[in-house]
Amino acid sequence: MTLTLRAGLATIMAIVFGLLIAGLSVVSYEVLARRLDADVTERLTQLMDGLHGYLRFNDDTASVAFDAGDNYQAVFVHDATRYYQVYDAGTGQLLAASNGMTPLGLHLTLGEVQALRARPEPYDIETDYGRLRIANSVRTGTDGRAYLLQVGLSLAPLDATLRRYRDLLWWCVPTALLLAVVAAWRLSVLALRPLSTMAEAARQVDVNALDRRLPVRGVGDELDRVASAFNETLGRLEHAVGEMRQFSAALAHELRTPLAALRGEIELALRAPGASRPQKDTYASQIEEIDRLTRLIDQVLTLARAEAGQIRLAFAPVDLGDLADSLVDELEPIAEAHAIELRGERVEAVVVDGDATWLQRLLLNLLDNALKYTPAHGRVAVRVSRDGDTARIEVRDTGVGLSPDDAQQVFEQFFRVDPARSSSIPGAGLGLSLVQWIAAQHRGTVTVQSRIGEGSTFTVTLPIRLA
Amino acid sequence: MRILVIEDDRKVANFIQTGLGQEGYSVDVLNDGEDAGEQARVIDYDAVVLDLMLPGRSGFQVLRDIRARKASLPVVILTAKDAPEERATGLDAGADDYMTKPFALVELSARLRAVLRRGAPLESVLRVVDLEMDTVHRTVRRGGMAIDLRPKEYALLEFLMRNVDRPLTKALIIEHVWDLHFDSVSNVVEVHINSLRKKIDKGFNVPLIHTVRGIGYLLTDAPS
Repeated sequence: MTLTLRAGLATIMAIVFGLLIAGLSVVSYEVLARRLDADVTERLTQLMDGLHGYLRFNDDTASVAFDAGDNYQAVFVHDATRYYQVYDAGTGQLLAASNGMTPLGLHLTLGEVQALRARPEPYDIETDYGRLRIANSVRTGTDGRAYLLQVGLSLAPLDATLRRYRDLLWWCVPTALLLAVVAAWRLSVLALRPLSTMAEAARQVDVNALDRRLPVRGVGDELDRVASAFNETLGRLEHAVGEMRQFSAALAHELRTPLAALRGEIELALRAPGASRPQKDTYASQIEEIDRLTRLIDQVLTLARAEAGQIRLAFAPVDLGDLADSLVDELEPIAEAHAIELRGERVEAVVVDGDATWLQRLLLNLLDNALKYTPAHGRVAVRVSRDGDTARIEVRDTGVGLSPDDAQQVFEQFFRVDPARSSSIPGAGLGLSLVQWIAAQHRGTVTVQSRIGEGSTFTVTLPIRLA
Repeated sequence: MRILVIEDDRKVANFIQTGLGQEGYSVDVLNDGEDAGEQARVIDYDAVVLDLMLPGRSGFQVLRDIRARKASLPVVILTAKDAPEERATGLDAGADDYMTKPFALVELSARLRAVLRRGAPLESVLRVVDLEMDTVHRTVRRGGMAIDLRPKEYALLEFLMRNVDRPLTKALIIEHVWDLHFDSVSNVVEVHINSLRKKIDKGFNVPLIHTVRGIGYLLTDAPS
């Protein structure tokens, strides 16, 4: 859960970082490209406007006239005349061209000149020396004729700058992305650490350690609020469990003492020399009922204590095979009295970490159940086996069996199968609940497979090692 | 034999007093533990029956008071708690036996007999008319004929014979012959009593094993 949450958080952060970095790169590149482009256009306009002032027309030629002694003029004209040509806008005749322009083969036809005269827009061309932007303008010369001036400026420095910037981004963006992922992962760990601490602390809490509390760091953030809320719940739970424990102790006392008085007085009456036979029968029957009630209270309280976590098991190595063998020996006379064949099938010695007393109780309850619900001439078999790290105890009978509905409820407290089939069989329906509790205490399970009229198999699986 | 009963519930104290009185004990009752230690010192009791849940004072404190004055006085604890840990705590605190409410009078008197004859050597040969048990060689004969018993049948018969003429409850028999958990096993005592009857009573004129309804079982040669 933590891992998933952490991975999710890290992924979101990495995606956000990544999108930011990529977006910033694209935008900055675009802004730079437009800016540089605008600079070129502006410079071209300056060159174009300036050059008009230096143009002199003489019949079919045009020339650039300037004061060579003026440094400013010389540098400007040098820049402006690197790429330029002048056409007669009416005839399409070339009046002048710079040395740089001629080898590019950009000689215009009359049609092209007329088209540019109508729309003197700048355009870019590809040359062997890189891109070139050419600006156009139409003016009326000193001789009264209209002419077309073209001035070019190389876009190569701009393209080179953009290319370098692109190369830079190409290396920087993945690196930054990688750093973003690492940072996002680290950040998510940092952000979730209090949660892990809290989960670890919550895991320590069980019914026997309800006095534990989650650490509240006192910074008043959301996690502190969760911890406080959890602690309040624990407090209420601790209080309730405490009350329940006191209740079961009080219940034991409050029920047993009057029962003791009742039973004792009836027993005295039963012994009294003057009692008649029918009176004695009544007293004896009352005592039997009190004893039944006492056994029921014992069982209920054992289960209540078990579920309240008041019973501590003492774990030590227990040989399940030996346990099963000795119980089969003990119960053999009972099986014989009911004409049931009781067998132990011990495949191998299976030693588990367990509480011998409670495991004996588990097996006794299962065997007693099997004997109770198996009619005469039936069979009950116990089998102990090992399957890897798991010990398996099977108690199989050829008894009355359970319907699928009953099989689901058979481990519930006070559950008893159809009264028509079980009314003559003693018990309160608590034995299997205890079996389930004992199995769970050993981190094991108990299941049942059954068929009406064919019998039942109860299977207990226990881990060999508890660690 | 003089017994001190410390029990706050008057009805319970009452029937113990009456019941034990009928068996020939002389019984004194205290309803709280306040003066128990002093009374145990002054009067020469043979045993004490002590309820653990007394008003004001815990039974364990009373037990320590008594032990401080009379170290070897047998004490049987009576409690409404049946948790095995409680039992262990009671026995660790120096009680000689432990009994859970509700209980049978015959069980109380059986436990008292046991703590009273504590230390006395057990007889090695038990005899009830023509039934004879040699506990050294673990043999049983009736009318001179050897009887073959299974281990549990033997243990059950020995327990019955050592308490001859005294009824025993099923709970007491289970505790002595099996262990506590077998109380959940239905019919375990009945089945063994029946098989024992077949072996020692069948074919003899005088049956020795008797069922006392509402109480338990009894081995005696007196006619019922």
